[in-house]
Amino acid sequence: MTSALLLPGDSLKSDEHSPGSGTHKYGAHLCASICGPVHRSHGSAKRKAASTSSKALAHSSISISRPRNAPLLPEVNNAVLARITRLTPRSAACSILAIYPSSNNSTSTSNAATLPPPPSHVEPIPVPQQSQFSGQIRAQDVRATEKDKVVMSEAFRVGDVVRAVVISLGDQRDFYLSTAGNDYGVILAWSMDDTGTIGGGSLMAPLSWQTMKDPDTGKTEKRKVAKPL
Amino acid sequence: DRRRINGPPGGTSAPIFASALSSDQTIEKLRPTRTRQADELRKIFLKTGLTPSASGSAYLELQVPNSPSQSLIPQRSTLKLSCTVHGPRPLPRSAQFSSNLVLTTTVKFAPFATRQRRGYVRDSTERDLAVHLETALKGILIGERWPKSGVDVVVTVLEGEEDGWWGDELSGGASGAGKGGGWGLMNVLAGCITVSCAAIVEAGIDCVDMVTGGVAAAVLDDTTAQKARRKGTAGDDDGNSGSVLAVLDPSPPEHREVIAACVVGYLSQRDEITELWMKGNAGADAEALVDRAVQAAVATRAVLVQAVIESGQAR
Repeated sequence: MTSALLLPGDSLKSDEHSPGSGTHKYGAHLCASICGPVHRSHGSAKRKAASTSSKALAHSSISISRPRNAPLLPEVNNAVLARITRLTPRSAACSILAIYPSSNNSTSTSNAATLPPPPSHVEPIPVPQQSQFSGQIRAQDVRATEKDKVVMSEAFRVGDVVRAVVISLGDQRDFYLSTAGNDYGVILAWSMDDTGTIGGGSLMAPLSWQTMKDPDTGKTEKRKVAKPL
Repeated sequence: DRRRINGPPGGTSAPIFASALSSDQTIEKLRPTRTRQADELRKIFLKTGLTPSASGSAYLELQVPNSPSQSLIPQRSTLKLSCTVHGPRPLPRSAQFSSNLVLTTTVKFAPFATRQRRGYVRDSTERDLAVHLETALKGILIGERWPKSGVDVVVTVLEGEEDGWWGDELSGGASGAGKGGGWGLMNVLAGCITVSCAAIVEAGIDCVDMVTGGVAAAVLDDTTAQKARRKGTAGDDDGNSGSVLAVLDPSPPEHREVIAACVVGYLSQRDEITELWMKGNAGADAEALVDRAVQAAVATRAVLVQAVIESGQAR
């Protein structure tokens, strides 16, 4: 049984809910922005004996559920999966393949120096072919330590799939991504084959944070590897 | 146009037998009349999801009038529109950084959409309609949700509305004034607004409300002459009372003379108008004409709501 669908412009009964995705404020109340069923989420809140009811409900939000194939845009602090398309000594251009949906509980008080942890047990949502945004990983965002001594070809290769975080909307062409963190970096990489074609060999397995190994030939290659989840 | 295999220039039409067009009176019998009430709209067929490869799509068609006629000549055209929405998708690399969604609208008449065959290249009328449509849609989109993205709305007119009755051109008929006033374009714009909104909501783009198009016109009241014609009595041409009648959803071939017409794009929940286009000489009744057009838009909303809910349930 489908719950009642709301249309754009319909007002929502939101007593103490905060606005979530698919809603907007008009005057004093919340209205729906898209067509879909209402979804009320109740965030977990520590209940102290002396807390007032309004504090406990402040974490719950009201949103309109989007269908699976709804349009998606990478937002700041979202984790994404991207494929490297071009390497220069100072940056790596990549194409964003999939976006991890941002959890509603993400606090805005995250330290600017450390990236938020990747969401666990969440499937990334693939982006359709014609809407693939392009991103850029600058050399100073590849890792958290020794940022000035990064050699791009020892961190990434064209064709690798990396997990990264969007740090900025960037300029007219690219989003800015960062892999500075233990959980971010190369996830899938293919080894160089005998003819010297980068990525022509087989899929490699991670050995350490900067090495990956080809299981068939036993050769290792340098990458900035993400910690396997 | 040498790149395509063109049909015969000047258009084609069904064969007309000489005896059928013997006199002006014979042609006059073929003139369509408005059988609806003054505030009754034609039935609208609106369906979404007809183009699966697009982010959102919709098709709108008005009810074909079933007035029987003794001639093979098609009496009048009924609006048929197809709309596809692509996006939000990344702007091209050469585009400027935009913190808001960039809306691009295109309206194109198919070459077979009107009695006079149109060209393949977009002309100024279509560009003008696209600008009006963009004005109407800009009012509902929440642009801040989609930085660095663009959305393309493409409306194809498969059959357009006419500016007047074809017989008036042939027989040099009664109303010379108001010809070529572009009254049919107003119906096309109203349909474009409604069908684009259905496609945009199906694409899942954030909107503050749904916009519908409504048309109202001030026409010369010739109801007495029409009644006489229907009864078959040989009434003279000047059976008009000369007064002005306000009608919703005008079909220009049904009226001898359209004095003024108005299209609005209206948001019902917020009671706002995003697009307003008036033609002709409404005189002191301009505001009343706008109110009537809003009435027509409100009536169209019921159809839009049903179509959008159907598409939401199908997902």
